[in-house]
Amino acid sequence: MMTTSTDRVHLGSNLSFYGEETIPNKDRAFFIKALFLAFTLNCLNQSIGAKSLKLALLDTGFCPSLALVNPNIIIEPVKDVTQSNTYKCHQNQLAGARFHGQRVLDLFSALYPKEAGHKKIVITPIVIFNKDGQQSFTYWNQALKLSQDHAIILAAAGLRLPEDETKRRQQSSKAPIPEGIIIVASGRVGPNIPKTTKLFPQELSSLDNMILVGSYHKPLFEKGFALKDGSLLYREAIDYYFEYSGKLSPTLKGASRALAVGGAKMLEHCAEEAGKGALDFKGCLKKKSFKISFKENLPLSKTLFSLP
Amino acid sequence: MNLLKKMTPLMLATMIIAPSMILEAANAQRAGSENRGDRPRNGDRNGGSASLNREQRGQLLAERSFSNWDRRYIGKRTIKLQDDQEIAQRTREAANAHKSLEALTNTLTQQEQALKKVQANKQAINKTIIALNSAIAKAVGEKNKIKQTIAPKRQALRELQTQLQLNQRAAQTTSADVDNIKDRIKKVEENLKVTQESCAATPAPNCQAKINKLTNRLEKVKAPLADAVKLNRAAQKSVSDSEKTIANQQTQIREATKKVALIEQQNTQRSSQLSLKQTELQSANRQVTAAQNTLTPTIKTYAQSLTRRNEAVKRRDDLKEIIIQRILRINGIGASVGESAGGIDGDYYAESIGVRRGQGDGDRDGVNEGTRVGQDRSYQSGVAQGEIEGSAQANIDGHADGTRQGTSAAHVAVATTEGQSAGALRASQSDAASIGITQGKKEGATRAEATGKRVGEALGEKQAIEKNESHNISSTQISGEFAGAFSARVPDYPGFDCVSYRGRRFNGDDFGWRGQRDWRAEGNCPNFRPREHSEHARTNRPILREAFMDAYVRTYRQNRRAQFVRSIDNYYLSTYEDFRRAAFQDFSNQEYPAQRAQGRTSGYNTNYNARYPIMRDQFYNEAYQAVSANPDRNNSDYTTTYTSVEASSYRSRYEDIRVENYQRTEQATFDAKIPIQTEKFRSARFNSVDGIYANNPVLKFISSSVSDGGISGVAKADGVYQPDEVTLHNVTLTNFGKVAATNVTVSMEDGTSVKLPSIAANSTVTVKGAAKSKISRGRIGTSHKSELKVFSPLTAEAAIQGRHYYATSAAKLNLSDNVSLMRAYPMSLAGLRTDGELLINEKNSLQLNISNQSKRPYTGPMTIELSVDSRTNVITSEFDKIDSLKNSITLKSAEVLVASERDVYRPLVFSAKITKQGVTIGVLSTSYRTMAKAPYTNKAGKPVIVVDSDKNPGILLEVLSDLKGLANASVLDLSLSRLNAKVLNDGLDKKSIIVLDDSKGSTVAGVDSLLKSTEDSTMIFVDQNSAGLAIAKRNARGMRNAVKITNRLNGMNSDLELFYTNQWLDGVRDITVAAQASRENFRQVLNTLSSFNTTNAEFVAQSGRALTKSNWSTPNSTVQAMISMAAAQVMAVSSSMDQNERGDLIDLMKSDRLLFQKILRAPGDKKVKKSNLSKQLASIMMWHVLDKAVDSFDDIQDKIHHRIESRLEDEMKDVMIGEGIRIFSKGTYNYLKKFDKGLYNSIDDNKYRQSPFRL
Repeated sequence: MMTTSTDRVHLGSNLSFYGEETIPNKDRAFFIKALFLAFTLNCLNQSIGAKSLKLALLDTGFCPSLALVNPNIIIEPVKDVTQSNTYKCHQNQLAGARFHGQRVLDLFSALYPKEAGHKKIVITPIVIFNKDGQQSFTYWNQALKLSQDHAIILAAAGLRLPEDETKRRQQSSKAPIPEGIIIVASGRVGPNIPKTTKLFPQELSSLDNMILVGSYHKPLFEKGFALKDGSLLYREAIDYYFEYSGKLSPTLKGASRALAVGGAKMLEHCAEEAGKGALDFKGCLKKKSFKISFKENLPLSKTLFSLP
Repeated sequence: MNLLKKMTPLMLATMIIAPSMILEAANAQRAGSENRGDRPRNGDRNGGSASLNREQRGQLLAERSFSNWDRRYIGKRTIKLQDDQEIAQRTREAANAHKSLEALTNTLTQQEQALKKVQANKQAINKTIIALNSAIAKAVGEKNKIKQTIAPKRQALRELQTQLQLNQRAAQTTSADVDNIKDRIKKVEENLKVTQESCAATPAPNCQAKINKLTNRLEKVKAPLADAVKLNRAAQKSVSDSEKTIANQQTQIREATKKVALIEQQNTQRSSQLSLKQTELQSANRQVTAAQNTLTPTIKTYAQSLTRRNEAVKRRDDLKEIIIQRILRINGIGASVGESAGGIDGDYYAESIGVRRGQGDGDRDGVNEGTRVGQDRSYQSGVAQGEIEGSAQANIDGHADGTRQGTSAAHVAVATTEGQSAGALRASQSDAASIGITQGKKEGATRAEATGKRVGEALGEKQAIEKNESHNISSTQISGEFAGAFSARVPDYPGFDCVSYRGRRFNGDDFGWRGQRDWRAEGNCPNFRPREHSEHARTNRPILREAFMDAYVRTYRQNRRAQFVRSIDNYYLSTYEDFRRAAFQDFSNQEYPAQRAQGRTSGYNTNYNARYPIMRDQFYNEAYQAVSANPDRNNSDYTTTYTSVEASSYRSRYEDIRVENYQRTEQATFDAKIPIQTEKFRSARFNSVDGIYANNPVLKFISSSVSDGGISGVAKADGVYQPDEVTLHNVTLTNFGKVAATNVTVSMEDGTSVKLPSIAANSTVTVKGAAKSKISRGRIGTSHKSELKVFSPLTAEAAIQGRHYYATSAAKLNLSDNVSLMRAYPMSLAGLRTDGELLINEKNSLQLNISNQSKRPYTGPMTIELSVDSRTNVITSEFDKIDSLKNSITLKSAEVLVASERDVYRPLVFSAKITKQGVTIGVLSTSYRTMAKAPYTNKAGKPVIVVDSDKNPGILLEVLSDLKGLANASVLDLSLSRLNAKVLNDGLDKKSIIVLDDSKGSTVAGVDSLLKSTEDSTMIFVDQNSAGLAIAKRNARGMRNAVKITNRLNGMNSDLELFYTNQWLDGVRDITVAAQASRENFRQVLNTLSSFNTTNAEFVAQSGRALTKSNWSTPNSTVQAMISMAAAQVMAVSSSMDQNERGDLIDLMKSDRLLFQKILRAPGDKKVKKSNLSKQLASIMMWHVLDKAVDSFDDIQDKIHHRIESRLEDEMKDVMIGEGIRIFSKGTYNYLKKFDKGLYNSIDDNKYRQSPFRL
């Protein structure tokens, strides 16, 4: 806001030449046009800057042209850090892991508030899986570099790290970690992902700007009890839990769904704070969160939180 | 004796005076004490208020609250306690017991209040009696006291009287003394006087002495007088004092006596009051006793009822408690059964689904990956093989091809070089320059630059990515596509879907259901029928089963899902891994011939392709060099190539040189010549055009304008264009030429054409009044389109002279100057209306608003012409003339009077216009449409139209027109309710009433009012929707219980539903027959139903004349109407019977008040004679029809009350066939047979000829 007011002062001093005869009429007209354009752009930038939040979404593949329309969400062109993908976007062919990213994007758009007054979110979709469906550190590093100026980085994916802890640390330490808030899915046991799997960037969960999201099963009835998802990775590090499955976008399940839902809900409640930094954002989340009540306790004794 | 003891002295005293009085008081006291004695028995604690208080009434057992009974209930409760039959039964019992207790409580309260009331009354009487008694006693005491004072007073009086006598005597004595003294004094004085006189007459010496002596003597005599007088006075005073005292005493005695008399009199009155009150008391006592007698059994019943109610409530609540306990227990069991079953099933499903899907997915992925790996291996081995083969073949092919190609190429190269040189030489000799080479160099450089950029950048990028991405990739990848995108792949919880079963079974089975083959009700579906498997659910109380199931379903669902979620990953993933690994091993180790072949081909091709060029090039170069050094110029390759290359080289070079030269020369020539040529053509054209301007007019149409010119001088220049008004047009033209335009014409929309005066050279001219036209006639408010066109012939080049023309071919200067002029009158007439409702013979004033719409004031006499399409002259006074009008005016001077019925109930359309000097300057835009109304007038024999003329004028006018005008009908206009109030109230008599309704019930109120008192009439509802009768039937009281019978009447070619109002139920004076008709058929209905406008007596008389021996078989309207009416009357009676079981209706059936009885009895005699044949025929016809109708005519048979039906049949049969069970006497029908057998037989064959119904 301060910048805006300074600009106004500056603009005022520029306008004072209206009374002077030194600039020829033709030139003056051009000058005014140029000035007006500069002013408009400046204002536009200011207004977007004040009201919008930049978000990077790292995943398999996206089709922004087919994404759900949410007036509060602007989707930038897709950036493919693998430089290999040639997939075609067609409404009827969005199934499969290739468009896992698209489903995350869609669900996020569907759940983020559509009403005017909410913070506008500018999403940069970044593809980190190459045409063979493989990810790599190189891709991740490039994606993280591209996300440097983004306030929020969302990833419903993780890269499998070597079993050897030294190698793991070596690799992880090379990553250019952005300053924005990194929200990632905790990961889940699955085909080719055993319980012992170590993942990047989940491995960095102790970072202050990192938030891990896991999934849980909501109660069947109003007074029923919730169920824990026993197959989550990085269980001890998970900060918030969100629905495992839902009616909207039913094929998106588990930790990925939790990330899409969680991302939308976190920003619904705390978008203002997200612009201010991880500490404010985490503080806001803590205030808005509620405890999930379970009938039974899995080995994990930690209290589980979610957002309404 | 007791009584005597209780008596006070005062009472004793009173007893002496009024013994009866005191006895009554004592009786009263006794009665009171008797009441007190009754108190405990009746609960009358304080003598006056005898009612049961709360405790005495007994404790109302509080109902226990079970509102929160399901607090611990598990699952969604689908049951209510009331669902249990026994609870419901006991609840009903309790409710009934409570209800009857409530009723009894009310009765009890009422009776208690009644008792209280009579007790209060009694108490009041008692109070009065006591008051009277005490008043009497007090009065008696007072009287005695007075009396006691009287005796001493009398004694004193007597003494006083004695004293008086003494005093009187003393006074007499003293008075006599005084008199004596006075007598002596007198004697002495007389002596003295005589002496003095004698002495005076004859003085003697002793005279003096005598005198002196006498004087002395007088003195002596006089001396006691004063004392005597004094004494006498005192004596007299004593007397008078005594007398006064006596008088006083007497007065006192008199007053006391009077007082005593008064007290006695008052007490007598009190006594009589007392005796009255005693009588009242007795009555009150009786009332109290009666009320108590009523109350006592009620109290007893109440107590019983209370006990019953409390017991019922207790029974119900006890049962509820037991059932609730059992519900919660079974519900809890259901929960644990559900939990167990859910757990088992959840695991079962997880196993069933997870294993199956894990197998499928693992197998698929393993196969895919294995196949890929196996295929790759086969491919690679193929490649190795192919590579060897490819190299060998490449050597062979390379040698042959290289030598051949090298030889050929060398020849071609030599030929090309030589041919090119030769061709180029030839081309350069033809003056084609070598610019092509320069251009080629330049273009080549440009193209190289562009291509290099595009290709190089892409290549560099690719290399850079490869360089950066290639390291460590293999070590950090998770094998499998998109692994690490965390959307769970494990199967979803199936919800309540059934799944197909395959695989091992789960062992945890606390309830042992697994042991039974049929533990799962329907294959591999959710287990919702545990009651078949659990003792706990076996109960014949359904509510418990439901409670079991509610909990069961809830915990079953929860645990089934929970167990599924817990187990699925394990089942799925372990199976997946197993199957994937297995499949991978299988498929990765297989031989894939296709891939091997492909690899072989690929390896072959790769190595061949790699080796072959090397070999070929090697031999090629060798051959090439050899041939180049020594070419064979006759070799066909050489000759062919040389010829073609030389020619193409020549052509190419020649073209290059030619093009280059052409372009350069053309441009140079153009640049050199262009200014001269331009100037040359410019000057020539200028001169030509300038000449046209110099020698011709060059016109341009600028504008035109229009103004209004009035009609014969009227309405001129008022800014309003009225039909027929002249329009004046001004035209402005500019002439750019140096010559005046003399041949300009203007044509107007009506075809007229005018030549304009000369338009001067080089000037802009406005021709005023250039043309004249007229506003065509048309509707006010529409537009007259004025079209003005200007023409001037062309005398020079059209492109120049006509450059401002719209169309030079038609010499037209403008397209058409179109102005839309709205047709209007300067005066606007509106609001023509009568002052009030237009009624016949009532003068009414008309009013009209006139406003000046023009831009100037109007003066001069202006006349308003009123007209109306009336049949008679109704305008009695016209509007006054107007002298001037600036803005607006309202005129009220005209008057209208409708005096003839010919102009009533028909539309009257008033129109008006305003004229000045015969020219119309304003017309009433919307004519005033009204209708004159008239109050009802009776027209004998004509139908009466009932209508609200304000709401439905249209149909009224149509119907009136159908009836050929008002002369043939009366109108009962409901909009004139005040004027027609009497008719509506008194009703109509023997009329056909046509009701015109509008589907909105506008006539209902009028119809209802009419029905009440109308007699012997028919009512025909006419409306477009045929809904009037239905509306009236719904809304009119008089139609509420109307009887419906479908008639097929003479004169109608279709069935007609008739409604007959019910005089016994709906408060109508007589039966009115109502029918629905349409606009089309109402006259037919009117004619047909006119036979019904008949009194019962007329029916008897007319139908008794209608039939003869010759015409009896022809349907007769009167007889049909009579039979229909007779049937309707019976049905109306029957319907009344249905609603009230009334004996008098049966009596009515027997009396001669009903038409059918009148008809039966009309002949007077059962015997058939010539003189009464017609009457007998009517009654026979009626008998047949009614007899059949009650048995088989739908509208009657099911609807007639059985008692009425049997009575009707009895009455008719008695007359027609004979009386009594065994037919003791003959009936009319038998007599007819005797009278005329032929006629009898014919009638017997055609019994229903006169039937108004379709029998």
